[in-house]
Amino acid sequence: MLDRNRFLRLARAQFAEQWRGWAWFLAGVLLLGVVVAIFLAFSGLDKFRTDSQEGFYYVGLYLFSPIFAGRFFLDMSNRASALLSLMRPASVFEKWLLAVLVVTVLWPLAYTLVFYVVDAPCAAIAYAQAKQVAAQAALEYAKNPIPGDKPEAFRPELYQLFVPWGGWDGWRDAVQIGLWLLFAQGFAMFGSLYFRSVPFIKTLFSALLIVLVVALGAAMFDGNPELFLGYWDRTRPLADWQDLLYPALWFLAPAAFWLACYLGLREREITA
Amino acid sequence: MKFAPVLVAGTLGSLLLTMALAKAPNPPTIAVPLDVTGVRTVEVRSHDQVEITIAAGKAEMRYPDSTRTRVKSRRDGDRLVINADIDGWEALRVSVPPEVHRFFVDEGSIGTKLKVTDVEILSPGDVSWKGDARLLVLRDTSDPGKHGNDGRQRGDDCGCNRHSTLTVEGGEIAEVRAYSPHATLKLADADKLGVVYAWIGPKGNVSIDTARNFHQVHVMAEGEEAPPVEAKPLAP
Repeated sequence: MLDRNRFLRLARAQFAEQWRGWAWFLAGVLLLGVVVAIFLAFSGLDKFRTDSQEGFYYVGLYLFSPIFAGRFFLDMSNRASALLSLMRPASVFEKWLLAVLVVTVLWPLAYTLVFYVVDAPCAAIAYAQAKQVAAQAALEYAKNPIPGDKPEAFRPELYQLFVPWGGWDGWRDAVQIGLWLLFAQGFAMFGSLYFRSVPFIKTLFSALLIVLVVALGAAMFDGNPELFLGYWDRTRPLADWQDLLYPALWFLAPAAFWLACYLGLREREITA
Repeated sequence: MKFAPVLVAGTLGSLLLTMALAKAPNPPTIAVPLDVTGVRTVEVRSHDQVEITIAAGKAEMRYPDSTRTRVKSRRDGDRLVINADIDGWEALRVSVPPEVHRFFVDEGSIGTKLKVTDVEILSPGDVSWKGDARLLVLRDTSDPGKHGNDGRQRGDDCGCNRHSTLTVEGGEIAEVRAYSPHATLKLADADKLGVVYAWIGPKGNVSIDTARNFHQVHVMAEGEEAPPVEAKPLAP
């Protein structure tokens, strides 16, 4: 099922074939980040405060991770390239394992690196400017003190460089972020394997359909999806069966999608 | 048989059902008795929803049991002050006897199933009343400077697009007096109201949901005096 040497050969072949595509994708993310940073630079220093950096990091991570996952088996959407990919001398498990490692480990690391290429200089500039603005305001106040108009002192903790775990409020936040990411990536990857033509559009459409059905179902049955979606940072007590079912589903759903990716890959190999 | 789509469909179906049918169990609440001897005014400082009921029997406050909830009460003469930071999924419920007739709330609802005489509600936010009363006074206490009525510009502080709403949801009320430079006075069942005087300023307005006539509603100019309150008793 798993031969170490064969797996390494597969990884080398996959990288040799796809690194350009991945590099272009990262370059696109970088370019978008630069454009957004330029826009934000004109709208105020507070856009590069630590909490804002955190928001941009996670928005980008949740947005680009499923797209990257959906592109991993992009060659499957073309019959000729799909045949080449499926005939590569490696087991289905090895192909699936490589996809899991690239999408869930290497991609977040590469995205984080690209994020910091844009964010670190912006955060450093914002820190320096905020410090200077506060010092200038304090100087002006010292020269011409107006009662009730004392400027706020510079707070360096607001302009620290963001770290992905800085805003976590415990292990529950880490679990929630990780499972969301695995869920979205697994869903996107399964869509790219299941839909043989225009998989990206069809996967996106399916996701929208699911959101719509959840909203309609919740409205019809007077349900509260937030109880399930916000399970990991809840403060509201739940029934015992909910405390068992909800975390189980949180773990089972991404696991089922990734398993479906494995099965889908195997079925594609059989039917190709 | 293609097992992968079946697995995904089953997973999605379970997720959709779980979310569509998700319902919260009745939360455990904490009931704290309140000493309201001699209290005429209740002030609740809370950014969360507050429900005050005027009722015979013991005075108490109820709030959800949560590690994030902080509620404290103290006496200040004839005033009872409650400071509350409630975990956002349940309202703070306060029950007080009819001797209390003046209420300060940041926002919330106040009501009774009794027939009370005079009630005065002061609030900078949305507030509603439901129940029978002889005189109901609603006062919007938000800072008028934030709305530019005093000629000052407050930039980001201006809440002009977030005018509060003073609502009379129902009940037989002999006289309603509402004071606000910018709020909406909403009368849900105007036919049950004897007379309404509304000092609502140039930015305020009156909204009437159902009524057969409007002659009992008087929009008053600034400084205009209303006739004194009639001291007639409520019908039994």
